[in-house]
Amino acid sequence: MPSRTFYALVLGALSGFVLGALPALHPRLRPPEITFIPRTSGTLPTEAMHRGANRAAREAGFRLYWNAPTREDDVDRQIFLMSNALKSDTKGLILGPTNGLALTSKINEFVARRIPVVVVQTDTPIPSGRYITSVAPDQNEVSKLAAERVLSILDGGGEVAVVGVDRTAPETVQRSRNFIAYMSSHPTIRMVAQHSGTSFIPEAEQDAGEVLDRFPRLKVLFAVSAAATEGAKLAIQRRGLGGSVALVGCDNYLILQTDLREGRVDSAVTSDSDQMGYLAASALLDAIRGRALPPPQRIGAHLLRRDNVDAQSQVTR
Amino acid sequence: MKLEHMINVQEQSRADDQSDSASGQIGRDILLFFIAAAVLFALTTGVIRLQQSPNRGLPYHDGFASSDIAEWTAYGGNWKVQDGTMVNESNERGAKLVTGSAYWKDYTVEADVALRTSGDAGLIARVSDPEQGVDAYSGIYIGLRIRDEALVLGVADHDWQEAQAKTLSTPIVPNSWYHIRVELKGCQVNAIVNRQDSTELTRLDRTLDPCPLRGKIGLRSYDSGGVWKSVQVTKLDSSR
Repeated sequence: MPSRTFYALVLGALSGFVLGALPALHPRLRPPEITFIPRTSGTLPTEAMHRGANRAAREAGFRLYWNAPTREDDVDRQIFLMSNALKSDTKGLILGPTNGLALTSKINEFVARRIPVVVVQTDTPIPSGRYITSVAPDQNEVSKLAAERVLSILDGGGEVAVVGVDRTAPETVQRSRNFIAYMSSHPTIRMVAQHSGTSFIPEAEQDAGEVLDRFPRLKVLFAVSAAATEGAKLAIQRRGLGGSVALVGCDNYLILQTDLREGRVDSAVTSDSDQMGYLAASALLDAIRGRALPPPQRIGAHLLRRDNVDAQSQVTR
Repeated sequence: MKLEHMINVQEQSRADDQSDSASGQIGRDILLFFIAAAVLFALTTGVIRLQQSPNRGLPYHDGFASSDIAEWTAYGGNWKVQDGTMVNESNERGAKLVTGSAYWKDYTVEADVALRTSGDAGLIARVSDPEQGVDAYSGIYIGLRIRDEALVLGVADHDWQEAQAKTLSTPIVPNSWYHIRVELKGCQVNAIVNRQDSTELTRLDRTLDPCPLRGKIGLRSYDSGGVWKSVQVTKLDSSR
C-alpha cells in the first residue's frame, strides 16, 4: 500500500498542475448566439444584411455567428452549416435559403426544437407560424418598378425578354411572373422569351447570349437577379449591343454603381439589405425573448439609375 | 517499586518519541506536498508559456520542397505542391491555407504570389478562428486584386472591412511572380509589393483600428486560383 508521503507528493503535483494550467483552460465566456446563414457571403447585399443583423444582435447583447457557402448554389454546404448550428446550441436562425425545398426537412428540425427561424430574401419554404417567418423584398413592387422603367424605355413598343428565372430562388420566378403580367396589358410590347438562369455568372452570360442571338430585334432585357444582371451585361458587351439593347436588372452587386454610371446597365431594382438584416435579427431576438414572431414582412424596393445612383448608393465592399 | 517506576518512565519516554516522530512525519509530508505543487506549477506554466510564446516556431520558412503539407490546414480550395510552389487550382471565393502559431504577434510575412486571370490572391496574417467561407476568419488580408489592378489591405472578422486599396502603376500580369512583404507591428501594417525583375514598388502604410493582434499566417485567394512560393515569417524586432 502506498505510503502517506506518496499521496502527499501525488496530491501536491496534481494541485500544482491544476493551478498552473487553470488560466489556459478556463472557458471563454461568450454571450448567447444567433446564427445567420445567407445563400453566400462577400457580396454587396449579403454584407449589408450582415451589418444590419449584427447591429440588432449587439443591441440585444447577443453574438451573431455568420457563415455561408462560397457558391450561391451549394445546398450541401448550407445543410452542413445548419446542422452545425443545431449542434452548437444556437438560440435562433436567420436563413437565406439556397434552395428552399431542399432545406425543408432541416428547417423543420429547428421548428420542432422550438428554435425560431427567420427566412430572408425570399418567402419561407414551409408555411409561416409560431417559430418561422420571413423578411423579404416586396417582389410585386420589384416587378412593378422594372415594368414601369421598361415601358418608359419602349415608348413605341418593341421586344422584351426576361432572363435569370431560377426555380431554386423563388423570388426570381415571382418577379418574372409579375413582370409578364404587367406587360400583358401593353399590346405594343412583345414578350419574346422567359429564359431560365443560375447563380453562376458565366452560365448567366451564356443564357443571355442565347437570347440575344435568337432575337436580334430585342430592345430590353429584364434580368431578375444580380447574377443574371451581371451575365446579361457581359453578353451585351461582348456582342457590342450596348447601344441597342437596354438592360434592366435586379439586386445589388459589387460594381453595379459603376455599371450604372457608365451606362452598361440602364437601371436596377434594389432593396435595402441592411434593413432586411436588421428586421430579421430583431424579429428573431424578440422571439427568443418569448414574444411571438411577426407575420412575414416586406421590404420596399427602389429603382437605381445613372441619375440617382450616387444619392442612393449603399456602402460598398 | 523503583524498578516499576523506571519502566513507566521509559514507556512514557518511548510514547513521547513516537508522538514526536509522527508529527515530524506530517510536517515532512506537508512540505513535500508544497514542493511537489510548486515544481509542477512551475513546469506547467513554463510549458504553457513556451507553447504560447510569440516567438515559437520563428523564423519560419516553407519552400514547398516536399509534398508533405501536414503543417498547413486548408479551408476550401484545391491545394497541391508542385515544383517548389503551392498551387490552388480552385476559383473558390475565399479559399485559405493556414499555418503557424496562434500566438505569433509582431512579425514580417512575405512570399511570391502569381495570380490567375481574375480575382484576388495574397497573404493573410494574424489569423484566428478560420473556417471554410468567403471571409470566414479573423485576420488581416493583403493581396493583389485584378479587378482594379490594386494592392488591397483589409481586416476580416467573419466580414470584410477594406482599409486601403492602392492601384499599381502597371496592370497586374497574370502568371507572373509578385513579391509581397507585410510587416505587422501592433496595429501598424506596412505592405510592399513588386513584380519580379522590376524595381517598381507599391507600398501601403496603414494603422488599423481595431486590428487582430496575434495569429497564424496563410495564403488566400478569391474568385481565382493562385500560386505561392518561398513563404517566410520572421520575428519583427520590437525596437524597430
